[in-house]
Amino acid sequence: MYVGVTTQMATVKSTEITQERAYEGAYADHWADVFRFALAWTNDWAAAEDLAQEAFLRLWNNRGRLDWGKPVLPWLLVATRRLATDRFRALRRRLLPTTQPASLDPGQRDRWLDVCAAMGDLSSLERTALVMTAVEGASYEEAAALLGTSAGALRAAVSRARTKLETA
Amino acid sequence: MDPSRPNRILREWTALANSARRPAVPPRRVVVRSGLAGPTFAGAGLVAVAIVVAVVWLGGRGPNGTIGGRATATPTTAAIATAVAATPTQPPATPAPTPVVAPSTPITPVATPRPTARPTPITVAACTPSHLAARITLWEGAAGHRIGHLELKNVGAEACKVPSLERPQLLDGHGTVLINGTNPTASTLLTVAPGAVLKTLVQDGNYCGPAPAAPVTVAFVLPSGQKIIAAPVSSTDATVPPCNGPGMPADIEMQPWTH
Repeated sequence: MYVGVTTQMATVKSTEITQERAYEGAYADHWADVFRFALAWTNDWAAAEDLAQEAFLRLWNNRGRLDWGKPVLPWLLVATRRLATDRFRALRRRLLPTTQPASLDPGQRDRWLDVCAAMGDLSSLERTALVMTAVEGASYEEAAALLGTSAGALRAAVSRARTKLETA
Repeated sequence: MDPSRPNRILREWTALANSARRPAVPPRRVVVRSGLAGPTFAGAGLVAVAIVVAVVWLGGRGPNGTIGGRATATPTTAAIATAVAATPTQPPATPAPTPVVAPSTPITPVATPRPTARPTPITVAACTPSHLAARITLWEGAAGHRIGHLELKNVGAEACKVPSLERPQLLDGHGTVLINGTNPTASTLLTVAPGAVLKTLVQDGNYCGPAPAAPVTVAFVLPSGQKIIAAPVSSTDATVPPCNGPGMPADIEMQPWTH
């Protein structure tokens, strides 16, 4: 009986170590992807950094329930979108003044403020749809699935986004 | 019109976004160490002792204000002993000395005046719209949305309870629902004293319908189905949130009421 219990404990320990390594690998591989997605959605540098951290925290908390054999990035992006669209977080972001991105150096900060202003006319969906299809290379169907909308609506959002940026 | 402008902006956006620096350590939930449990139980035990001592001290005042005027000290001492014994890290309780009461004169019962203050009701009823007056104090614009600042005052004579979240609606001057919110999945009950004011923010967006009749206002649907209709900012206010996409649904949501 003791041998059985010991084996069981060793298996649990081994699973925990595997999950921890998988989590660290996902963090190294996908943090930048998650950050860009959050940045596209929020157009707010500091909020995107927070969201990326929270999405990974959610991944950590769910590490025991995930199938680590499957790609984890879609899970992370959907989690990020859900966190970003949390009603109170969205309200807070709209009400509170945008904080200056402390992690950018001054030269980059000025460039970011210009880009942020240009992208600020777009809705979250338009901005993210445009970034996902034009920058990340996602298909309309892939981007639509991650953004919880239809491919048609996503195509329209991309078109509106381009028109807004052209005419701004 | 500058067809190359989106690509320029996206190139700059990508260059900047790729310069973001990832924090070195991936986030993990902080775990509370079980070593805190001992001191926590000990602390709880001490608090229990303090409460019991306070009860003895307050409850033991005699009619003439002397402390320990009641002859029921023994059970209270037992209560102290029980509370102390419940503390796992404390040594076995030493029975506290029984207060000795030796009144010099026999205590004669004195008729104490009954309190005239109205007792607080044990149960607080749910608020109805007749208890409450809501008003919009301000509408402010946000990116593609509007945010309304609202107040809710208990105008009744009694305290009542109101859910911290209700289903918000945007109404036109005829009471027609322009935007219907969703029922909250979870809500707590807030007790609102008479005259007390609660505040909240309501955000609405993407209204693509016809121009509404003035005045536009906000209503909150209570679990009973009754509505609290807020007084509008002005009788001519017919502003609605901008239409961001005709194919997308309009939305309205509220923050929980807070004191």
